[in-house]
Amino acid sequence: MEWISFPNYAIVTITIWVVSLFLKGIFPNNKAVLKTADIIIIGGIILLGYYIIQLWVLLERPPMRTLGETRLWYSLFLSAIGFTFFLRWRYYWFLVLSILFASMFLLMNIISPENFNKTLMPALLSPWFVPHVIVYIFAYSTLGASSLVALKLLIPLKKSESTIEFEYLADNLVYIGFAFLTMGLLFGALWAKEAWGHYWTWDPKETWAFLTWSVYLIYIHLRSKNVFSKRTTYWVLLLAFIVLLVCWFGVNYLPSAANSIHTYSS
Amino acid sequence: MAGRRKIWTANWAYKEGLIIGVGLFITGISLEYFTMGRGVKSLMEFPFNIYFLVGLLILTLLLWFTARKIAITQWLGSVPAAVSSISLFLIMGLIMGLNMQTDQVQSGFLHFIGFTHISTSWPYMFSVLFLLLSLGITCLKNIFPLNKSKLGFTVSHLGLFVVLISANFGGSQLVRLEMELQENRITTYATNKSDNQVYNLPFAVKLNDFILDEYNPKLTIVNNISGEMIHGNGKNIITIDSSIKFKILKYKIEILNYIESAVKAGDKYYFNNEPGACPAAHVNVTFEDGHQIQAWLSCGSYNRQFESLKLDSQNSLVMLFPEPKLFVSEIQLFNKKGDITNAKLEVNKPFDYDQFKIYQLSYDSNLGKWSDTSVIELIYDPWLPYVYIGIFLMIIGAIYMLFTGAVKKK
Repeated sequence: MEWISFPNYAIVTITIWVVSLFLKGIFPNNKAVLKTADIIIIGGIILLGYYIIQLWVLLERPPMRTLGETRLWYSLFLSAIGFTFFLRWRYYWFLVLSILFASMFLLMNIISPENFNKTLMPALLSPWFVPHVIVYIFAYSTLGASSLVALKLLIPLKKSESTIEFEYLADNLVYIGFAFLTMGLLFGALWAKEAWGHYWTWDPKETWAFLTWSVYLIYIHLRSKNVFSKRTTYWVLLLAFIVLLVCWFGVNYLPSAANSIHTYSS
Repeated sequence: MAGRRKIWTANWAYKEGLIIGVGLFITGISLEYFTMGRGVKSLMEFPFNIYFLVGLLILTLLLWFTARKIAITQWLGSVPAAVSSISLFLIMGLIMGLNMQTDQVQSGFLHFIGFTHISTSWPYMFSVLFLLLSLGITCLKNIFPLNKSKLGFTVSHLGLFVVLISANFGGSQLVRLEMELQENRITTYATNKSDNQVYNLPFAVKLNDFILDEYNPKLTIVNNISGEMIHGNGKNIITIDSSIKFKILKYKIEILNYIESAVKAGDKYYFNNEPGACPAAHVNVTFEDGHQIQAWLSCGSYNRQFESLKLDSQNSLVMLFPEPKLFVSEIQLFNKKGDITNAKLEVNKPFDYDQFKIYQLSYDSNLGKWSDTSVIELIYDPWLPYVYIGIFLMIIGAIYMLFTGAVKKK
């Protein structure tokens, strides 16, 4: 038995997101259409949120254990962040990329559906579980959004276009994401002390979480004094996201992680 | 940019950082190699960890208060030194993240250069010292005199400094002891699993009761010949609910009856609560051609047979052992003064007692919920308060960062 009717929810969400993006792209000057498209996008985000709540009730535990479940939250946050920043800065490309990535993560869940599984091992039964995961996935979404901006910055712009606004946007996203990443890491350490007896054991997941944190830390330091070319700095930002993805999904496949205590999906 | 500047002249930057980083790395690896991969573990044991720590702190203070104008001090408090030292530390992390780490002594080149035990190796120690010097000078620079406009910056750097110091210099004083308790018996000793030494404790522990709660068991298909589960990445593993219908592969299955604790009598299962009673389910299977069979399934227990259902020449339907939901030890602690303390140990809920944090660790998994053995862990970590102070400072720094955000650069 798979997650109840997930494909239906996901396909409806993706469809209305894509339709509203098209509406926005085709009628960039029609205010009524733009407003309607905005409302449709919010509708999609709310629908996804509603599905997550339903899943939570049905599973009788927070849906945050498996990778598929974390992807749901990622889609929710990324679309919400993309939309919020669109409202604030009016970058259509940023909204498009965030929504596309959010949809991609939903599609991944449609393609590889997970088993409906209520069990939660005792180590996960803790008040730290929800804040640790939520803060982390929020950080991942914001940092993911910052790499979208880095991508935009690495693709040559029109001569007249200034990059300063984009640089500011990237930095802001990294700052927000990094603050949450730090809190997620520290909540994890506090939780580990309660659950496993030590706050830091260099478990592979911890090691990669540390690596992710360090690469973003390097980016922040590099940006505080621009010595290297800006392009180099944005490559660092992209690299940071790759390390983040290894930490999130890749760790389970690394030979060094054979003894990890951080595997909950199998 | 430092382009035309001669190396090692005023305002050191990345060139110096690269050379110092690589130098420390090579020196660390060489030291590790010449000591045959023994690492720094014995050097960092109490009280030497304190001597090293005091030495490091004095060095940092001396650099800042007596030689703040010299090139190296200036550099240690600069961004290039921060980037260089984080990068070196990051490389240590990368080695740990790619190569399996172990406590055991091994042979081979990777062991000799410390790559199998990075966190207690010379190159790691050097990278920590480099990072701490850079962090320490940066903190001092913003505290003496206090730079009020960079308060959040200082708090987060100071927090990280405190965490790194406590974790790296205090980590060697952490003691983990395991204690195997039997129901209704008093135990006074514990074993250190890292060297198998047995310690007598200044208090005694009695296990009054061990309670284990389980989830409902799951059903899945196994291959008759290889005996392997055909789990389909979890898709073919179904948790039993009182009455449900589902499909695994080509078989339609319906649970007709489920008994959490049952014993077989004749060819049926009945509710029973005696030791070893196990979950059982009465199922109906419908095949592709429409014919049906009904049978009892059970995962068995330490003293009961398991029962599977052979579906055809290829596959069988089996019940898996239920997974634990919660395990609790109700214990009593007696100290030498004669005080008696009652405590309940649960995963995620350790109990503080006499300098130790006491954890529920495991139980006799063969007996499952009938286990009358409970393994608990006693952890002594005198540096923990400092780690918490550092973490607290870092969280404040992170919140501060959220509010101030990035600065617009021209």
